[in-house]
Amino acid sequence: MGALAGALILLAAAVVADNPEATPAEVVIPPLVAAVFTAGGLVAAWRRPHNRFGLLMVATGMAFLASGLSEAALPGPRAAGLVLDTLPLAMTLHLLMAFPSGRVDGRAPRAVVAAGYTASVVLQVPQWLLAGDSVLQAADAPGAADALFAVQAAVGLGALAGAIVLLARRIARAPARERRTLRLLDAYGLLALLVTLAAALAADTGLADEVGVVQTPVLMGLPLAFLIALSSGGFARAGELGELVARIDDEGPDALRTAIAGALGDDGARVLFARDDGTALVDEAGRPAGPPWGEGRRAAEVRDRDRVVGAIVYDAGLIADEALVDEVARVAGLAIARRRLTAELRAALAELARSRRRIVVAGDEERRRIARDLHDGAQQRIVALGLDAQRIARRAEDPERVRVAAGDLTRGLADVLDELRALVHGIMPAPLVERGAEGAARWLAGRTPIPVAVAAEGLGARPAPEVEATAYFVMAESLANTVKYARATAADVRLSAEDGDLVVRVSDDGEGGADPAQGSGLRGLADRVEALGGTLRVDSPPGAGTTVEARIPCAS
Amino acid sequence: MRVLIAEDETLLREGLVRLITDEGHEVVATASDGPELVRRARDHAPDLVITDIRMPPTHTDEGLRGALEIRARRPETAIVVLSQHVDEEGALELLAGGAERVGYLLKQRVMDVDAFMDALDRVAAGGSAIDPEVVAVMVGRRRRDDPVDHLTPRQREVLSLMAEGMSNAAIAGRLFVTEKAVARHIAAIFGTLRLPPAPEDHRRVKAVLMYLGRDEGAGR
Repeated sequence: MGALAGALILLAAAVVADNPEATPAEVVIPPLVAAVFTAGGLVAAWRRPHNRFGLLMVATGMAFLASGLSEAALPGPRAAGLVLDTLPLAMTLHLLMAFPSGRVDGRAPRAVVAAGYTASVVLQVPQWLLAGDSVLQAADAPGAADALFAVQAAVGLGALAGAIVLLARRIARAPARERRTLRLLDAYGLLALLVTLAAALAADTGLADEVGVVQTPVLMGLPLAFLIALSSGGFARAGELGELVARIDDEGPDALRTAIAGALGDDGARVLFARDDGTALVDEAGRPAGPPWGEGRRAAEVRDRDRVVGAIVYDAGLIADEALVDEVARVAGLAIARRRLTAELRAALAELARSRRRIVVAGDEERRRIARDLHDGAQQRIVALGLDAQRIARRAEDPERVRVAAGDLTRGLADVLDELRALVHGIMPAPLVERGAEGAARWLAGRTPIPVAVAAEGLGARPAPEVEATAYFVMAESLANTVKYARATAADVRLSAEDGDLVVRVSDDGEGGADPAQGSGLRGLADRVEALGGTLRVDSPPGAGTTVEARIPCAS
Repeated sequence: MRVLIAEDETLLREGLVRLITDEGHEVVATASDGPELVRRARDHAPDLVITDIRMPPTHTDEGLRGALEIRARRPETAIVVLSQHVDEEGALELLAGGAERVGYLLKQRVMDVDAFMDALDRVAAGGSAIDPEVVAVMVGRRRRDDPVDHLTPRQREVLSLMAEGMSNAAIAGRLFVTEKAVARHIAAIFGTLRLPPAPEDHRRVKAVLMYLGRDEGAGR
C-alpha cells in the first residue's frame, strides 16, 4: 500500500508541476502533506493492525493530494481537484474526532464529522456545477451559486466551530497522566482548527495572505503531530500476542501487567484478580479494587475455562477493538488464574494485618478504659474511705458515733466493691470463668430485658478459655445489639458442638437490617472469631430478624 | 457451733475466723483450696461449712463442687457458699439437692456482721439464706407469658423475701404487716404461679427459686 501511495504522490506532483502557471508551493506542498499523512498512517496501521485510524490517515493524505490537483493544467485532474477541493478539511476534522481509537464515538463528534462531509462534499457540488468559472459549468447562475456558497460556508464554519469546542472540552477533561500525549495532539489540532477558522473568516479581508502564511505550515505539521502522538505514550505497538505469550510467565512484581499493557498498547492497563469467593476484585498487592474504573476505562472479564479469574481494565478511548482485549484476556487467562492465588494470599495477609491491628487497638482502648475507671472510681473512693476511717479514730471516745461512722464506712466499702465487681466483670465475666459458655449464656439471658431462651446441645468438656471467652463476647454483643437496635420481643441463644467447632447462634425476632460493616462492635467480634480461625456470619434481612452465628474451632 | 472455713485469700480467711470466733463459735479447721475443703470436712465433720466458690487449683467453682460433695456425703452439714458475684445458676445448682441448710451469699455480705450472722444461724438451724441480689435477678428475669408478670408489687416483694429464705414472721416484720397478711399474700402467689402449697420455709424456697430459675422454653 505504501508503494502505491508513493507512486500516486509522485504522479500527482508531476501532473501539477506540468502546469507552468502553478507556483512552486502549489507543486510541492500538497504532495508533501500527503506523503507525511501517508507515512503516519502506515506507521499507525503497522502498530495497530486492529485500528482503522492508520487507513483514515492514508485516505486523508490522498485527499490532500487530490485537492492539490486543482492547480493542474490537464482538465481531468483539474476537475477532480476542484470537486475534492475542501475534502481534506472534512477529513482532518474526522481524524481529530477519531483519534486515537479510529472510531467517532458520541453524538456531538459524529454530528461535527457529518457536517464537515456535508459541507465539503454535498454542498461543494453546486460550486462546480454553477459557479461562473467552473470547468464543469452546467448553468450560469451566479446568484444561486452565491446563495449556496453562503450555506456551505455556514455549515463548514459550524462544523469547524463544533470541532473546536469538542477538542477544547476533551483537553479540559483529559484525565490520566498516560494520556498526556493525546492531550498535546488535541491541543495541536485545536490550534490547527483555530488557524483554519481564522483563514476562513479572513478570506474576504485584506489579511487573507498573512493568515495563509501561518495556515500552511500548521496544516503540514498536523500529520507530524499525529505521527508523534501515535509513536509515543499510550499508543504503543499492539497486537503482539506472540510476544505476550512469551512474556506472560515472566516473574517480577509488575511483569504480567507490563506484558498485558504492552500487548494492548495501553500503558495504563491494570490487571485485577477475582477473590476466591468471586465477590470482589483485588489488585496484585491484594488491595480491593472496583468500579468506577476512571474516565473512558472499561473492564473486560478474564476467564480460565469457565471460571471468572480476574479482569483487565483498559482505556476504551485508546483501544477501539474489543476483540483485541478479548484475545489478550484469552491468552492471559491461565497466567491470571495462577497469579490470582498469590493475589488472594496477599489479600488475606493484608486483611489479617488489618484485623491484627484492630485487635491491638481494641486491646489498648480497653486498657485505657480500665485504667480510667480504676483511677476515677475505686481509687478516689478508697482515698475518701481512708479519710472516713481517720475520722472514726478521732472520735474513739464516743462509742455511738463510732458505731454510726463505722456503718457508713462499711456501706462505702460495699459500694466500692460493687464498682470493682462491675469492672472485673467487664474484663472477664465471672460466670464465664466459673461456669463456662452455657452458664454464661444463662447468666446473660437472666439479665437481658427481653425473654431469651438458651439451648445447648452436645457440649462436652469445656473448650479452651479463649474459645469460651469469644463465644461469650459474641453472645453478649449480639444480645446487646438486639436490645439496643432490633426492637425485638424475644431472642434465642443456641450453643452446640459441630465438627470440632463451638457454634454460637444468637437470633431475635426484631426488625433486621443490621449491617456488619456499620459500627465497630460486629467488626471487633469478627476479628476475635477470625483470630481463632473461625467465621462470623450475620444474617439480617429487613423485617425478618437478625441471626449472628459464630463457628469457633475448639482444637488448637 | 463447729465451723469449717474455706477461702484462699489469707486476709479474708483470717478475718472470717476472727469474726466467727468473736461471735462465740468454734472454727475447727480452715482450707484454702477445693480438695483441702473436702478433706477437712471429712476429717472434722463440722456443723457449718463456709466456703468461697472460686478457689485453687482451677479458680473456677471448686468451692461449689466441694460443697455439693460434702452435702452428698453428709447431708446434715449446713453449707454457706460465698460468691464474688451474682450467679443465680450456681445458686440453683446448690439448691437442686434441697434448700435445707443451704446458703448462697455475696462475699461482701460479711461486712454487715449482724445480717451475716443471722443468715448463718438460719442455715445452721435448717433453713436457707439466698442473697437478695440473686433473688432480685431471678425475679426480674424476663420470660414469654410469665405468670410472675401478673403479681402485684406487694406480692413480688413477698415473693422475693420468701425466696431469700425468710420466715413469715420475718417477712411480716420487714414489711410492717401481720403474719396473717403475709400468709394471704403467699397463698395468692402460689395460686398465680400454680405451685403446690409448701408448708416448710426451706421447701418453699426451693419451689419458688426452681420456678424462677426454670428454663425458658425453646422458642419459635
